[in-house]
Amino acid sequence: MTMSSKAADYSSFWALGDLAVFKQMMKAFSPSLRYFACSIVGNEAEAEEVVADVFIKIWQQRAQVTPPDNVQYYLFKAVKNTALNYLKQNGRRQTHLAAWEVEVSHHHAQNPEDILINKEQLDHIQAAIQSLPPRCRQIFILVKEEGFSYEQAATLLDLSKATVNVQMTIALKKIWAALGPTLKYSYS
Amino acid sequence: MTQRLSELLALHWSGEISAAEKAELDELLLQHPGDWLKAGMIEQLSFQKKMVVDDADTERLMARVSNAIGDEYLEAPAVNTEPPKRRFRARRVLVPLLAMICLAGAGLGYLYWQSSFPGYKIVTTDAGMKTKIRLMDGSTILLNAGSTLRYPEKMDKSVREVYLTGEAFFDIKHAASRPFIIHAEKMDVRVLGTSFNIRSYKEEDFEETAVISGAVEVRVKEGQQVLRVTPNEKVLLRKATATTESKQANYNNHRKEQLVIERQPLSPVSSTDSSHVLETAWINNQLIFQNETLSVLAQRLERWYGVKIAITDPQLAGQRFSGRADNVSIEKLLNILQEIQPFKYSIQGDVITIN
Repeated sequence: MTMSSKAADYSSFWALGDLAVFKQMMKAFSPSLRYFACSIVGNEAEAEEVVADVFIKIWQQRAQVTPPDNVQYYLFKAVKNTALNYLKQNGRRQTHLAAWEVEVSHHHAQNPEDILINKEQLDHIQAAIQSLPPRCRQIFILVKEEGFSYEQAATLLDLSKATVNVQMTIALKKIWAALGPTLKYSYS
Repeated sequence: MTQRLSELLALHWSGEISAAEKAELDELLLQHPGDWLKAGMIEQLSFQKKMVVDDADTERLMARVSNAIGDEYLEAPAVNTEPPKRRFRARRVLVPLLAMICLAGAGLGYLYWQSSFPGYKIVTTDAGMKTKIRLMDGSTILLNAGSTLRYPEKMDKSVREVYLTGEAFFDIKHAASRPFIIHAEKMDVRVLGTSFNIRSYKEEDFEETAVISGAVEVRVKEGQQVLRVTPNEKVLLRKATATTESKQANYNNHRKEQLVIERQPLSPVSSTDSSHVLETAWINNQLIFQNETLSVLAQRLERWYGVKIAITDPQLAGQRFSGRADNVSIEKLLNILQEIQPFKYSIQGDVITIN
């Protein structure tokens, strides 16, 4: 659901100033953008202001802006810039990262050969992600939930691609450990 | 699990793995069936941020943006409807008169259509007539000549819907919970409360919505594009048929009708009064034409005066005219046109021949 609306075609907004499409776009992206803004400015109220400003500016400049290839990445970059400007104007530095919580679940469509992950394991994974250092969790969310490439995530967070790689490996290791020992049955 | 394995798995997991690395990973997993199973489990996981943000937060953010960009749909009440109201007041005497004249025609139309649309009222104006319709909610609709409006006898509680062919000026009472939708041939126009003019004559090659106050949403039926139109702006749909202009298209037998969507500012009639625009001049019985070909103008005159006009000279039919006539007879108007571009005409009954 989230994925499909994020991948939807928003081109008629840029071409014709289509208001309904603009609203769909706000609806689809604003929760994610709000989290991202929050991870930079550090609190919910200011994050909302940043995201609202980004959309207002986009609406006002719709005629001058070249339609972006990747709407999602475009919006995240706009939020990053606006949020950093916001901090600068207020004479602050990036202080703390918002505590993003992550929910783990199965893929909806399960193949018969998929091995079932039990509730206990899911809880462990959940806890493992929760215990990730904030920076690591932020990278993890941009890559795994938003679907950004290492390159894109690195640009959004002003990090190197290598750092993103290292952090993702750390995240994977934690989840790996949370899955517990290898299956108990033996091959005969 | 080795460091290398977790690195490779992370790359694979993120969709960043290269072909060579993938081969290395497969090799490693083959050697460790336990790891292979666990890797498969990890692939099955999906992650989603926990929704600390709920729908209400999103609504609030959207309302905030809507306010800033001047979009009244979410909550703001309808803005001033002053200019059109003033115009109506001046016509207080004329309108009932016109309405009475129209009654016969409307009644006829009603009878004719009743069978095909049970539960609806249908008002039709003949050429040379206008009529004003007042709906239960207090909205008024001024129907121009040669037009038909169909509306439900009992309006729905959640939505007000009417159907229009021809031209009409709408002054819609604001009701945030009951959007008003006008269905025209190529577009649906959705409003909450505002005043605007819709022109959608079948015989004309365009269809337009011109907004005087408030804002409306025009949904183009073909392609489902939605455009927001603000005061002093109009959306114009040109029904461009690929014919003479595009020989190539003809060649390929492409006779498909194409729609060209344009946004334009309204055209003020005088430079001093910007509230008086061309698009709604008909309400004041002003016939204004700007750079129109005689053949297009003749169509309007047929509706306006209830006559039939035949132009025998095709070159003359393509001549362009600009001008303005307030409440004049057809003879007087033709005389004015003759001064711009000489031609001869004859009137027999209600048929006018121009040559």
